[in-house]
Amino acid sequence: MASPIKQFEIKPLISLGKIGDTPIAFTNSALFMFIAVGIIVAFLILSTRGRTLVPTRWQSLAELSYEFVANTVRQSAGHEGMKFFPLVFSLFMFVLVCNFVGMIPGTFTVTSHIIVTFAMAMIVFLTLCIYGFAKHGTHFFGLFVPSGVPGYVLPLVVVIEVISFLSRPISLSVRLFANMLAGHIALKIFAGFVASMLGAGVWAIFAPLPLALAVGLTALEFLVAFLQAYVFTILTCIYLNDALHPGH
Amino acid sequence: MAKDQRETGPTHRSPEEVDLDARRHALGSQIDALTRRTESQTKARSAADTSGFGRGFRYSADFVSGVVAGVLIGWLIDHFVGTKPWGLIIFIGLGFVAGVTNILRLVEREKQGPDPGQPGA
Repeated sequence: MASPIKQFEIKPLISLGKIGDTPIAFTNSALFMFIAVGIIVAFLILSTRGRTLVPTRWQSLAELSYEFVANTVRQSAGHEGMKFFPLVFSLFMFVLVCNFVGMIPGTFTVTSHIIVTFAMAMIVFLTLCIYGFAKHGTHFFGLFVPSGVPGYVLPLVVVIEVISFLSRPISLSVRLFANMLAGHIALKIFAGFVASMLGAGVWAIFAPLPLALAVGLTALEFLVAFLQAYVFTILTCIYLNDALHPGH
Repeated sequence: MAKDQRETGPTHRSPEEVDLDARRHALGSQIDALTRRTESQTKARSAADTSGFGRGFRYSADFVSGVVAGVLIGWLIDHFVGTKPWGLIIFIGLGFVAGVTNILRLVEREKQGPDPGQPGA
């Protein structure tokens, strides 16, 4: 059976030399990031090229994705949150397209690597911190001081709140990464069962079972691919909401 | 404003105004229908998100991230201040507490209903 984690291997495609001892290369991960960005750009440019009042199919798809993210931002972070719309929309589209591209057999799933999801989570986190400080100054620390806490436990509560705050980018990135990783491994394993059962003589009659499971899992994975992009977006909005209104 | 005009007497109302009123009413009901549809869509979306599998993942990720953050902070303090192993010990404990706090907060948010824009984050 083929190794289920071989699909996550990073292979350098074009070597670009070294910085210090670290080899710098254009990898398959970078290639699929470029592909995802290319798909998004092509989709949005082509679908909005012939703008009409009554949208065509592609245009309404573009409008739908805009509306979807805009509604999410407005609901979670209010109208003020719309100033973060470009960031949130870019993140949503990137995660969504990366997840969906990863569903094509033989491709590389960029979001199944924690360093990628963590980098995106850190972008959100740093935006939140920098904007929060710039907007509210020291009032931003009000985020760590819940109201109605007696003075003698306050230091402990503040430390816990700080840890809880710092755990946000971790939980944000782990969710996306773990879902994609687990899903792709499960798919690969069940698909591998089909092949090894077919080669096991009498047991071949049971081969359709894991095949059916693999089909079902594929459908589930498409759902997860969308859902995780959505969850990433909505959590981003909730965290940004804290930067906008830290006083509670 | 339209109401005021109506009350001061029907003599002031030109056919255009009546027409405008009718069009405004039609537009108003259209917007209402649209708003209602958006709301029901949001509800359907949040219902889809609260599958058991998704919830399990959500809770575990929130809990584990608290512990991991605690470990990182403790390890960094030990590394730079040289209090090995006390920073790690204390901050793992605090990390556990932060993880539980995360989960409690999540549950609290879900209990309030997904409506204030946080459908089962």
